[in-house]
Amino acid sequence: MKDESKKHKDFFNIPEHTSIPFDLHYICVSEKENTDDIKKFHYMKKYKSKGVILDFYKKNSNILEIDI
Amino acid sequence: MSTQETNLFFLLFPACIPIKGDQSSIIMDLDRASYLEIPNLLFDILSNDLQKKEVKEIKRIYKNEYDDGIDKYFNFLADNEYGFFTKTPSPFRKPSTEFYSPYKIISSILEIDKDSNYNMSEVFRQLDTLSCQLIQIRIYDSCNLEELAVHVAVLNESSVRTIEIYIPYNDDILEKDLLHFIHQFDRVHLIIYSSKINKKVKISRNSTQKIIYTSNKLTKQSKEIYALKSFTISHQMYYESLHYNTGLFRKTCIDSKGNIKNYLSHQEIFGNVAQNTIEEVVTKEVFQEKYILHNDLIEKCKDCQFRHMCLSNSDIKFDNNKYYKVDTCGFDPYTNSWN
Repeated sequence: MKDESKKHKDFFNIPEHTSIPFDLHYICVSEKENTDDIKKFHYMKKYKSKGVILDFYKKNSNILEIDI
Repeated sequence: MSTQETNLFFLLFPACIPIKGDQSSIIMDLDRASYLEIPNLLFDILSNDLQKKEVKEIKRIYKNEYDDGIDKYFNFLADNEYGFFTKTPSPFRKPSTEFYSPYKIISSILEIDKDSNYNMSEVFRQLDTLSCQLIQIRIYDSCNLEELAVHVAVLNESSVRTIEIYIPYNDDILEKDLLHFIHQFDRVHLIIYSSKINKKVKISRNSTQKIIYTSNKLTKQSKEIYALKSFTISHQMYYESLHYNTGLFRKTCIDSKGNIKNYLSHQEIFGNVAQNTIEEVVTKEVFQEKYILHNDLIEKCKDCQFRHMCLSNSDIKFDNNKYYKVDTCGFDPYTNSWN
């Protein structure tokens, strides 16, 4: 859990609404923390798969195996 | 991060959607068009009311047998931006699952062979009136580019977003002729099938337009391809898939004889462009019957973790009070493997 003591100086310029918790601000704007569990990260990476960004939100058909 | 603190909740980001399959689950990341495979047990854990149950409470539900695993997974998901920890979960509401599309026709496929004699320009005009977004033209025999350009020109001022034209490779059609053709139409992609080589010609640095040469063959009997790389992950696709069949919803296909169908490989014919307007046919209830048969209602698909990213135009049969796809894919959700 992030608390206010971890507040980075860059946050000073970010308007914070009182109903939105500090930790969400932290997640939105801070850089990802370095993890010391690199092995786990690589292990999990193999389960991650990338999709494609299309001109439209879906294709018309997948009649031929090509990238459009 | 220690999850032993009181009042600590773990939430997934609204764009990260867990989907359960028979043997394995995934988290679809709709923003990044990617997915992460997770075990079904983690899916079950994430299916708890995370907004009302603290992490400690969730651990207690599982009799504290999985504390270490829950900590590691939640931290992993937070580190990789699938979710976050918070002390105040109440402002984070689940997004509405409603799907709305302003288009009367979303996608259309036209088939043309040497015997086709329907008026292609008129079909394009009608599709534009119905605000069609995607048009695919499958040409099976030799193609006269000049003649084709006259028809496609009808779409130049239209609201159609993408026009894919499949043309058989022919030594007489030179690449410069194809480039001349495609330069006239900003939204056209050309796919030259049965080519001797596989290559992709990009039209310009700032354009997404392409001419693709592929050695793959296309015939009227060609079946759709189902593979991981053909899956589509997007917000609209996901929300559409919750309510509608993403392949057939608001799709109109015109076969080489001008017959109007839900999809070219389907047997049922609802009209012909020589006698009927497309609007007259697609507004009939009987034409729209398959729109609502989404993957959650179809045997096998309903147990597949990829059901909200898979686009299939297969016909659907009804047997013993259950729906089945006529053309099934090679993925078996019961063994979590591809055949």
